[in-house]
Amino acid sequence: MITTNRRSRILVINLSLLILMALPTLCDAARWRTCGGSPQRWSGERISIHPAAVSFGSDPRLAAALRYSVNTFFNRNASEFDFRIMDFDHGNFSTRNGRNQIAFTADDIGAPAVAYRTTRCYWWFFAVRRGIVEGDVLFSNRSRWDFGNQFQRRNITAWRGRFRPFYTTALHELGHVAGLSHESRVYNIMGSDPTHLNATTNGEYLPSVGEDAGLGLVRLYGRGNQDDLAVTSFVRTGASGEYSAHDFGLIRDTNQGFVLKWRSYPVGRRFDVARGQLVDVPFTFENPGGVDHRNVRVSFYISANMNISDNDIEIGSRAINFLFDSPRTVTTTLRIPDGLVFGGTYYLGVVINSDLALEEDWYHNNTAYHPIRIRG
Amino acid sequence: MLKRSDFVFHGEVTKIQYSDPAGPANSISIGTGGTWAPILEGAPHTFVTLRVLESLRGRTKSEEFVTLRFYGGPDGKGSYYATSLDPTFVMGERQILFVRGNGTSETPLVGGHGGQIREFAGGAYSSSGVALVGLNDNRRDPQLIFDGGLEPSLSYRSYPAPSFAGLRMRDDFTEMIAESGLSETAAWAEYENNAPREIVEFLVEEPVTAPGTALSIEDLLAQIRLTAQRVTKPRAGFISQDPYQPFSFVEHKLAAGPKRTTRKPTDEYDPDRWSASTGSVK
Repeated sequence: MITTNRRSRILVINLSLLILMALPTLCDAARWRTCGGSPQRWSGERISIHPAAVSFGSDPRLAAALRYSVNTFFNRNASEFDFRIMDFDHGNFSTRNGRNQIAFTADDIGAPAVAYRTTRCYWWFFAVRRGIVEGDVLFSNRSRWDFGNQFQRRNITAWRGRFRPFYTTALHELGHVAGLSHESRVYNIMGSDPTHLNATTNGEYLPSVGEDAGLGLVRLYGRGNQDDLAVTSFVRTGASGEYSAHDFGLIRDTNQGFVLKWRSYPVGRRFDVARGQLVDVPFTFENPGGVDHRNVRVSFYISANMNISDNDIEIGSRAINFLFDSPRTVTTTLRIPDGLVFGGTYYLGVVINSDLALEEDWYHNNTAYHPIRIRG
Repeated sequence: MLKRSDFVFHGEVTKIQYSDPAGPANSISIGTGGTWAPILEGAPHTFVTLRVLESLRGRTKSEEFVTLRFYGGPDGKGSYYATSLDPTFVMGERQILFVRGNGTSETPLVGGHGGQIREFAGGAYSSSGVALVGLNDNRRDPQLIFDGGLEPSLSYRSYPAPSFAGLRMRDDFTEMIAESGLSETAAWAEYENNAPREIVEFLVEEPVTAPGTALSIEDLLAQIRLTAQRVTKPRAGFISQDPYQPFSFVEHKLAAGPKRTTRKPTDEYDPDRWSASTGSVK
């Protein structure tokens, strides 16, 4: 937070100077398999899943992490589709036992986690009979997982930590069980899941099904009853095989177009900026809730810490449309204020729905930032 | 990816067979003239035989044909078993495969589908049919860059349809026959005469996006040859699998949660932590 007297010396940039550039994006992007021209999906919208007692029953913290993944993160998707966690399953694992199981294994499964899906697809009486009939998820207990109940960003690989967030991988694999395939074209959880994250206050991260996978689920199961907007400093940087690749967005000098010098920093990429410099700052805006909103107020701030709020120095604002179609990486031109201390580290942040004109089901994912350092 | 491979080769798919661990007395190939899928009682597996056009890393003991074994496939009773790591194989298609753990791993490619490059019209594509548009500039370990939409000619999987006898083992099919009012013989004739012999499941995308411009497969092969000279020899050898022999298969054993986590013994979860709106971030 920056003090009020310093704030008074800061130039609040005129909106007329702001240039908003939306990178080319797709309207709703998702992939799934079909049988006879119709999507392979479950016949119902609420599917039971059985956690293995040997994996989750012996440690209540793991069971709680699974509950978070399913009840709090996955089921907060834009569609009607939900998973329901059942009592602990004491049987062995099998992809052919008719039970949807979720468990850890010490076996080499070739990846940190794998989803197994059994579908039916056959012809009878001039029609195709189809559907998902069983889905299972195995996590490798050889991987380094973050189950942290503190959701500390510094622990996970996206922010230079050593651990993979269990929550994002669980969302990805449950997406497969629900019927989604990998998606490489946009920023989404069915791409590279460990970097599909929001940053909340107090150094925490927040997993989410997100807009794109949510839209895929809506296509398969119909729309639910959520209203949520989100923003993140991650952007899609390309595709690796079937997965979209994500990383922190790059800040550029507006006039020259070059990427500002940066260094990897435990709380994100820290860019070197100069006082008074015009910079193009990217953020990815999502509409995970499924309700279209137009002209949503988005405000940009300079903050002395990662908790971006309207107590910080506002350096610009504008309206953005949050349509339920695809995550949008939007670059905004902003002017670095003159009153910042040389050599100081600040956070160039954004708050969406900053005037609280919309009532959302979730506000935890409404801020994002890029660390900056003021060049001497 | 090269470093982690036992065997890397450019090959052509010549045979796709389905079997289970008990032994494939009734293994069949697709594309052989309308044969139904074999009825499998055990866990379905897919055997893919390829003709090796060029070995790029590792030894093949001068075999001209190699066979890879994958978990999953049709059970001949109307179900198909798949994993999220599955590659895609089509008869006659040429592919570059980065093999690891054939016979021991359920998906014996490095990174699953990530270890498969498919050749189409002289270009290189991912397992699902996304164009390989280039390589990054990491000279020691070039990474593959894919982009664009699905190539329609590649975005499907096909497998032999179940036989009537196989479907009769399903409760839901039995109920449908009863509902149809047909006799057993009439139902069998109806199915035999009208059911397609092959099931085709498409991978679809919304919106349909134009595929990227694919890198030439020859350029990619040249790059792999170059890179393969710089990496150490594989530690493990490659063993081709025999689709006509029984094999061992054990379902994954469940295990306790991992030891290497960030959890602290004193941590306690707050069940309401994310469960409700906080009203405002401000």
